[in-house]
Amino acid sequence: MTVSAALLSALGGGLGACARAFVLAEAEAAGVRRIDRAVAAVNVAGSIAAGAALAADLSPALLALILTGLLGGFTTLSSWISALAAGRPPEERTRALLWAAGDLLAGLAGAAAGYWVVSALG
Amino acid sequence: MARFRPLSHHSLGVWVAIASFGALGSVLRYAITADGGWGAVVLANVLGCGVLGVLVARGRATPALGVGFCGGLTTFSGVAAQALTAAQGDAIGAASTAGDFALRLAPGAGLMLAVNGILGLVAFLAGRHLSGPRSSGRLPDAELGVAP
Repeated sequence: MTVSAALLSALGGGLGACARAFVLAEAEAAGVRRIDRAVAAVNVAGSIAAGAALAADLSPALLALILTGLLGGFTTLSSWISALAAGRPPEERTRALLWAAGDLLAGLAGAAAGYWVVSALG
Repeated sequence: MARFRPLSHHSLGVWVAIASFGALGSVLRYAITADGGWGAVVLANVLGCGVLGVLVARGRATPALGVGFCGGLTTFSGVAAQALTAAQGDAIGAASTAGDFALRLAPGAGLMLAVNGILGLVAFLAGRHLSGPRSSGRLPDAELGVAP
C-alpha cells in the first residue's frame, strides 16, 4: 500500500461515483422505472471492464486508478443491496431473489468475458 | 445527438460532494483491501452496506453519503475481480474456450459473490433495523443517485 496508489484510487473512486450517479440519473430521466435494474446494469458493465483491466497487465498505479478506483467506485454493492431490500409484497420477494442471483451471475460472467476477450487479443 | 447535461440532475455542489465522498469511500476501501485477501473485500462491502442501512433508517442517505461514500466504499466489480484473481491460476491455463473458462471459474467465484451479497444484505438490514423504525420501503431517490 502506497500513498500514491491511495491517491489514485481516491481520484478514480470520485470519478467512478459521479459516473454511476450520472448513469442512474440519466436512466431515471429516460423513464426507466426499475432503477435497481439500472444499478445491476452498471455493475455488470463495470465487471466486464474490471475483467478486461485485470487481463491487460496494467502497472500497479494504473490498477489502483482504474480497477480499485474508477471501476470500484462506479460499481456498488450497497445501492444494489438497498434496492434488493426495499419493501416488497411477499409475492415479489422470490422474484427479487432470483433477480439478485441473476445479477451476481451476470457480473461474474461479465468479468470472465472481459478477461477472456482481452487475454485472447493479447 | 446525445445530450450531456449533468448539472440538470444535481447542482454543482452535489456533484462535488458525490465525488469527494466517493473518493473518501474508495480510499477507505483501498486501505482495507490493499493487503488483504478476498475477506477484506467482504469486510469493506459489509461495512458499506451496514452504514447505508443506518443512513436509510435515519433518513440521512444523501447523495454525498449514500451514493458517494457508501457507493465508493462498496464494490461489485472488485468482488468479481477478486474472484477472477483467486481462480485464474488453474482456470485460465486449463480452459480452451470462453464457456469452459466461465464453467471452471463458476464454483469458487460464485461462492465469493454469494457471500458478499448475503453478508451485505444482512449488514444492510441489521443497520436499518438497529438504527430506527423501518423505512416505508420506498427506495430513497438520493440513495440511488436519482434526482428527487
